[in-house]
Amino acid sequence: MPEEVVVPSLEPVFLEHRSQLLSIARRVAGDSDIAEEILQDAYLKLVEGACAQEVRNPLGYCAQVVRNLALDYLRRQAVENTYRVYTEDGELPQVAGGVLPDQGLDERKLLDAIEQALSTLPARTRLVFEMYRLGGLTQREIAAQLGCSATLVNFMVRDVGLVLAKCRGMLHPN
Amino acid sequence: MREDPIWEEAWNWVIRQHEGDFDTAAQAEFAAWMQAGADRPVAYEDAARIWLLTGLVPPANDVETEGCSRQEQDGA
Repeated sequence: MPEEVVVPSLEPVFLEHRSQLLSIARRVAGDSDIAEEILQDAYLKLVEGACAQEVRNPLGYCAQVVRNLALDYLRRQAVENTYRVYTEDGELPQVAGGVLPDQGLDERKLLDAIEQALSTLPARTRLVFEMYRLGGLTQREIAAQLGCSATLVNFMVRDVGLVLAKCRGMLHPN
Repeated sequence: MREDPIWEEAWNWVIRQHEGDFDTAAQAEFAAWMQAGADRPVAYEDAARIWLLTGLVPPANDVETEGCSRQEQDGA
C-alpha cells in the first residue's frame, strides 16, 4: 500500500485566530470589507491545500498567506490607479493567453514548481529572499544583518527572478 | 544569464512596487514601459502572479512574518 502523508489541516488554527488574521489583513489593506474578502480567499487557499506539506509554524504560515494576499491587493490597486492617471484610455491592457485564477490552472502544481525552483537557489540567496519577501525587511536592513552590501542584496533578490522564469510556462499552458 | 530581458524588467517592476516608494515619476515610467510592447503586460502579469505565489511558499528558514511576531501569536 502506498504510504499516504497526512498533512494536518490548517483550518483549526485559522479559525481559532481568525480575528488576529483579520486585523493583519485590515492593517495592510486599510479597509474592513476588503480585509474580509482577503480572509475568505486565504481560507480557501489554506484549507483547500495550497500547501501540501506540513508547516513548522502553522499560525505564522496563515499570517504569511493573509499578509501576502493583502499586499497583492494593494499592488493591484496601485497598478489600476497608475493606468487611470498615466494612460489615455485609462484601461489596463488585456493580457491575452494568460490563465485567470479560476480557469482550471492547478495552483498547487504551480506552487510546487515555484518551491522547487526556490530550492535550487544558493542557501544564502534563499535566506535573503525570505527575509525580504516574507520577513518584510528592507534590502538595507538585510545587508546590515548579514554584513554584506545592499547592492549585493539587491542583486540576489533580482536573481531570484531568473530561476523563476521557467515557471512561466505553466501560466500559459497552450 | 540574460535570457529574457523583458521578464527581468517585469520582475524588477514587481520588486519596485513591493518596495513601496512608487512615486509619480515611477508610476509614469511604469505606464510607459507597459505600453511599449505587447509582451510587457503579459510578462508583468506573470511576474506579479509568481511573486504572489513566492509569498505562499512556507519559508525554508526561520523567518518571521512581518506583523505577526511570536508575541502577537501567543496572544500577548
